[in-house]
Amino acid sequence: MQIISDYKIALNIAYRARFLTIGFWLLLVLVTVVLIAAQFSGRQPATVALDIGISATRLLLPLLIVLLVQELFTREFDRRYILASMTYPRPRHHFFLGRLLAIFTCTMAGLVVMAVAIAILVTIIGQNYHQATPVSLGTHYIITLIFIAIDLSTIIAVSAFLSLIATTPSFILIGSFGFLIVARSYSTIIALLEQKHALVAKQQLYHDSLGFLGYILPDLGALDVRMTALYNSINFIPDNWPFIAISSLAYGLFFIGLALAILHKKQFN
Amino acid sequence: MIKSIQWLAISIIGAVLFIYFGKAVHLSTTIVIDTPPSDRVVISAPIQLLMYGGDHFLAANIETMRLATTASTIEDGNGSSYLYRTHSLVAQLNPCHEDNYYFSTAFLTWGGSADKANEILHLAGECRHWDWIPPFFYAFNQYYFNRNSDVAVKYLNLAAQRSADNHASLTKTAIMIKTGSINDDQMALAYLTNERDNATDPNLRELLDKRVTRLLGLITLRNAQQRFETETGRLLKTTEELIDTGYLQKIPNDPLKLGYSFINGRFEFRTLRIKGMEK
Repeated sequence: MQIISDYKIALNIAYRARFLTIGFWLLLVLVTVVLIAAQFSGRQPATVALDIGISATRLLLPLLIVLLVQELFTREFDRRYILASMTYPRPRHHFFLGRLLAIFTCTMAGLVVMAVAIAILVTIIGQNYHQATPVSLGTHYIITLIFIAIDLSTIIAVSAFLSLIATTPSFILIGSFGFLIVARSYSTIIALLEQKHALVAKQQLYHDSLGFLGYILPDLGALDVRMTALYNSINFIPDNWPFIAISSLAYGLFFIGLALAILHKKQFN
Repeated sequence: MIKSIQWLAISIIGAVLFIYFGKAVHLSTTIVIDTPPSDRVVISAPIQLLMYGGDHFLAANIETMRLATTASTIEDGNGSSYLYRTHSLVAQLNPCHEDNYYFSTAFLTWGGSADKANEILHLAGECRHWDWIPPFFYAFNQYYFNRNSDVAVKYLNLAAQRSADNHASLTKTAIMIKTGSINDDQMALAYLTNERDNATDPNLRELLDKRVTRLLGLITLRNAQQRFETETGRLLKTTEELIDTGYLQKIPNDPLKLGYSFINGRFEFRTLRIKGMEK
């Protein structure tokens, strides 16, 4: 039950750090981007609106995660608030897991709000132009969002881990977005190299080097199954989706375990 | 923290509005380009992927938007390399992108680069496994530009399988091609005129209008040749013969500045060779 208590405190801190206001601004960016993006499409404005909306969500929510991690973890360690937080004796993992759960809750709440906003905007945009291939805002959209939630959960775990080893707050931002960019792009770059051999000289060398990343990073690019919602077809979900999803979650679990091990050994004096 | 996110959000909104309204101002102003740019930069797909945070869908959308806003400023012929490279890039990043394959058909096919358009259409047809339009466009290009009836029939049948509404007409066209009982010039003209009339974007309509004029020029040349050969009873050897004998007053003007060629006793569109893109 102590985790629940830490969880509530963390939510309270996030609220006082104006999490809702940050969410509002991010939502405003999302709405602006989606509405304008639809204007650029001649034949599929609703698809482009949904596509850009999902892209914006996948970029804005990691920003929210980094800000929350900085607020709930880094600030504790930097300003020695942890000494006050841990005054009431309890295991350190309660503190960590309670806050991690609060970040997860805020992120998922952000995802749901953004997903609903996108769905409303896409519906409105779709009424102005009848597309040959309509988007799917039902089951296919929910599947896409579940995969995005898995992607974000992995990023939360890595960011929380980075907060424990970081010496400066900006390291979390740089480290989290560096991880995000590489983990989301390497498998697609490998596919592009296989598809277009003329892209680079020494293609095999690049292929092998990038292939090595598959052993040390989860394939977050494969978790992007938005085509199923964009083109209303379940065929776009990869056959090995359970392995991709489980490996990403396991990667997150590994970093949470590592973070807890470091936290238990960490000296705060 | 709240201040920084607030200003960040304002700056992003400002940047987006600047690009959007900047485009609107640009399009509403008549700009006379004395010397059109010979080429433009297209960043390769892997670099684009890293630039957009590993999101190849976002990269494809941004490139398509760039194309939609800049394609109309390109003088036909000179910018074909840029158009092909950009369409090809988007096809790599998201081969299912509808705007990309559709506009590549409009810009490249009738701009002297039908083979390049076919590469993009082929990828779109494979990715969009439910859509009948890419195989139809592909079949049309194979028949009209490459004179490849077998491939055209195959892809028309594929298009017919995918379209319940147009199944009968597509199958009928495939049979007509197989039996050689089709007036391909009139079919091309009907198809292109229809595309132009249905285009809502004024820039696209203007681009398609140039392609209709180009096709009408080809039809004029072929009709003059047919009359010449029927009435004189001999085959046409050079284009000048048509003018000398009065069957044609002058060679039709091609608004795309590519012109027509007379090869093996038949008038054809002159195709464009894109530097560095030949196989």
